[in-house]
Amino acid sequence: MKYIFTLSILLASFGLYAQDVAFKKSNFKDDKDGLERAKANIEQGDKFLEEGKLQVLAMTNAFDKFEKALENYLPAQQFNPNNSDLNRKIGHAYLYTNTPYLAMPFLKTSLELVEKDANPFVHFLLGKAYQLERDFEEAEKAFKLYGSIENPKKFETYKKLNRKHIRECRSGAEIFGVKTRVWVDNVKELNTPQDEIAPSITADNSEIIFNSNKTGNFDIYSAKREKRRWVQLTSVNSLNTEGDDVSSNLAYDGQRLLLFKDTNGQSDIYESKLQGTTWSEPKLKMSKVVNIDGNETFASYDPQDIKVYFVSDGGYGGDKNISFSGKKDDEEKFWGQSQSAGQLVNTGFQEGSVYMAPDGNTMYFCSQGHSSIGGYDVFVSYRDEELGLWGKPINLGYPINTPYDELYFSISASGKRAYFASNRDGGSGGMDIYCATFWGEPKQPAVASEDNLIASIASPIEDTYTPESVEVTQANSLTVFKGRIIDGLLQEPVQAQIKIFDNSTGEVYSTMQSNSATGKFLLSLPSGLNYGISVEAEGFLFHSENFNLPKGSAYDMVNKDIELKNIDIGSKIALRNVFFDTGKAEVKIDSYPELDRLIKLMTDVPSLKIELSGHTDNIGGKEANEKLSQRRAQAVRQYLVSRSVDGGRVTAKGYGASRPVDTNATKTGRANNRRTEFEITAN
Amino acid sequence: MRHFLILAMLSCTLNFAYSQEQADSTLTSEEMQFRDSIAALNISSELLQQIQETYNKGTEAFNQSDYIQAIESFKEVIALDSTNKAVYYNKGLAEKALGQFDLAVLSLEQAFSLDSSNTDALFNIAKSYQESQDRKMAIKSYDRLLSLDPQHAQSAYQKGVIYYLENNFQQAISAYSQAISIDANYAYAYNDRASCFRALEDYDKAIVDYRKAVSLDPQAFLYSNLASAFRKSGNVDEAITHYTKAISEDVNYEMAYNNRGSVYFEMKDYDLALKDFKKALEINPDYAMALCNRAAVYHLKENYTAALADLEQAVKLQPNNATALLNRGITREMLRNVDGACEDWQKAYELGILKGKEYFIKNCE
Repeated sequence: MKYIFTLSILLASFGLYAQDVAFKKSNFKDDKDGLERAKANIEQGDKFLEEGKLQVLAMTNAFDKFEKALENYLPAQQFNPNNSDLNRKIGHAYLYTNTPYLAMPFLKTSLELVEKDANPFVHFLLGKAYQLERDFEEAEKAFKLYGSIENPKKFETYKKLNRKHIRECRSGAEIFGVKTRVWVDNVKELNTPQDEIAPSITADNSEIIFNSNKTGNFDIYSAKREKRRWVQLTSVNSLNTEGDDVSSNLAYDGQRLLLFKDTNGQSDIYESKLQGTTWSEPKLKMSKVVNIDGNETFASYDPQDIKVYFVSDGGYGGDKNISFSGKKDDEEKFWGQSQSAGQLVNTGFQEGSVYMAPDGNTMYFCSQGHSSIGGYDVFVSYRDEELGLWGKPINLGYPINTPYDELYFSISASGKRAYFASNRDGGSGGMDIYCATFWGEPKQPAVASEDNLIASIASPIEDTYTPESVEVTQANSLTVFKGRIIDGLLQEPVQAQIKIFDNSTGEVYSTMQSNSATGKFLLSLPSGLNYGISVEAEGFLFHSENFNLPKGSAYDMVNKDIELKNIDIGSKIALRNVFFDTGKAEVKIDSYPELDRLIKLMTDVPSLKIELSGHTDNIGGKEANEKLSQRRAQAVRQYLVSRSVDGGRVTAKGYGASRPVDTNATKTGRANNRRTEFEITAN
Repeated sequence: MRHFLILAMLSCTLNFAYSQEQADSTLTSEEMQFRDSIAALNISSELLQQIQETYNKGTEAFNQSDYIQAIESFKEVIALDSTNKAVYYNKGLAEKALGQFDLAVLSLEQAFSLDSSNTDALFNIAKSYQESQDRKMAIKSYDRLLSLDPQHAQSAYQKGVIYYLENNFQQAISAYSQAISIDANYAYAYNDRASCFRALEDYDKAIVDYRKAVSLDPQAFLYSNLASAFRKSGNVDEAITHYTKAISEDVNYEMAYNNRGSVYFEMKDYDLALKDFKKALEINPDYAMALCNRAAVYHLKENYTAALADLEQAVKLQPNNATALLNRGITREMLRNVDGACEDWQKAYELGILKGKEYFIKNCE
């Protein structure tokens, strides 16, 4: 196949010196059969081309139609490379496949074979080809020429598209002049000459799920990141069937997956969960109310796991738009009616994919509309936190976007690396997966100076000046908290339920589970809240963590294993979400969710007796610390008793600074030492 | 440190000048007494000749820096005459030069017990403690000397040095002030006291003292210190002026070029900064700090290849230079060597630069 392509290009180049050769008997006296075959091929190809054209005008993709047209045209081209019409048709077909960069030589030949008598439509196609080569000036000229010489009736059909392309060329000229602080690399270890699409990563960029049709139809693949390379590339066997299987979004923690399936001729959104090491049988995500008559395809979770955003063609206009639906109950039996992502996001052209960044207020989506510079481009929209509306989309610019298609986009919580697919030239073939590495704010190198400060000792003392890079404070920078949950005794992974609370309201922010086979978990916490995290598993004492992340906190990654303790006498648990004002012994309201968990434990296990203990760091006097910790322990006990826990089951003791669990020499160490703890004294 | 040793040795040699006088039987009264006492016993005795020859052999060896031989000879003298005041002193100096501080202290104590006017013995006892890092005993020894000789400015000064190195700046200031009250022209004491004020971020007082130091002894490094104090106080113009004075005092003072360059860098005048760093490296091509600084300029000028070359050289010279590693990481990143960058940031963090961890977490997933 490849050989044929090369040959045709070669012949197309020779065409420069040739004249238009029509497919008629007088030109091919010696090979009548060949001529008939070629004509039949062209006739067949024309059918597919016409079908494809209609789909393009309806703003939908028709790769397969154009591929089939080419399958017929290319043998005819081999028979007679010097026919202007055929060359134009081949160029036309290529422009709408995944190898559009192959179109140019055919279009040029088509024009040169007939010069002024050329079909005006060739100029429209040439415009597109110039656009792909980023020659926006020539492209705009060609589109304008087409508009001026085409039969007005025919032009009417292409007017909207022609105008759109001219707009794209202007956007392109503008965007190419702007230096974007990003590198874009082809992820060679994942790509093949076939199509790789819809890459989706975990928030820590340690796992990827994507799709490839390298075996003939689309299958789902996964890979892991080790030492900044993608390794262990494997087919996700439990999800792959004989037909096309296409995933769209891996959950931020890598434990769930959204995909879509074709049933009865229409696509609906499904979900699979990682059970241990196996992906479960996909189940319909959202109710039939949401998965309506049209096709629901590429979708995205939202970080709080309340909504699903998705691309649907079931809307009024029939073109693909972004919608969302919210679940109405925890069991996900009921979902709200789907709603549009907003008039600033959806256009009269196609929106191709959507991805909610882990911060919950940033949406990346792909569209042929807006200020696209050609094909699909990646755009970002930020949610106005007060109004809750999605803002005006911004083109991510070159080199992320090119006049080719850029589709699907998934970004890590750090904002450092993003993955998307593109059919741009220079790849492995077809759609390829690309990685965008954002430079971030410029890193300022440090300079040093030194002085001989002590005259009698020639030993210079160094002074290093590290300029602080001016970080653009993202209101929604994240903290990623990941690790494994393990049985403290057996050191084996535990499947536990992780609940994230907003301590200020006591409401559950999000809920998730650690993996049963690996114990792995990953939480991405946007700054702006004081989070309480509780980890619960049957047969174990609950474990709590606190992440107080005021607005503007910088990105951070905390990697920590959590050991769950058995309900045994002597087990001690620190209550990390019990808060007091400095120097005071009044339990703050923020502490109630944590204490309510303790009350639940006391209710669930009626034989349990505990000692509540207060601990301070070593700052301040011994006596004052002991007194304060005693009063605090009593205050916590009082809360429990006020919520009908039998006072005889709870004792309170203040230990001051006498039982540190960490060093008192550092700020973090001291924070760890200031704590309320409970110990099981009887069970 | 190397300079310190040389300096220490220098002071030994200077002190030995004194002992040499003693060794020369024609010059000092002690020697005269020594000679006379021997003469009184038996002028022509073989013993005397043997002692003299051995003693001279010892001083000869000392002058050749052959301290082991010197000690051997002095020991022989002591075996023949255990009341010899000068020989204990000399033996002590030789032991101190070899870093045998315990032995040096013993010998010098012996010398002082035989001759209570020998305050140099006491001073060297204190220096021995100081060099062996026994700061407590060193302070005690300087105090002992000061109680015997309240005008011993050097002892007060050395106490200041010890306190400074302990970051005990208040006590250091008292000690230097004492030295200054004894010797109002003690330029080094002014300099060091200024450095204490600098450490306490009292730049106005530091500037006053550094100014006094340069007015007493216009040395390049004193000007450079004055400039640095101005720089820290935020007065970059005065800083530049005084670094320039340092350079005019010593055109080959690479440190002043490097420092002035780093001020230009802070002022974002990268061309002048580059010129100074280049000059510093012309004087000393192995000056790691200037290599690292020149690389910073190249990096900002987006000449990453040149920056990397300098940083590679700096790291080669000082594999544990955290600043060089941090900067090399930044440059390597721009040259798309992410693995190398991450390695550098991790190491910079392990060596104590927090920024290294921040970069690693944000960029090395």
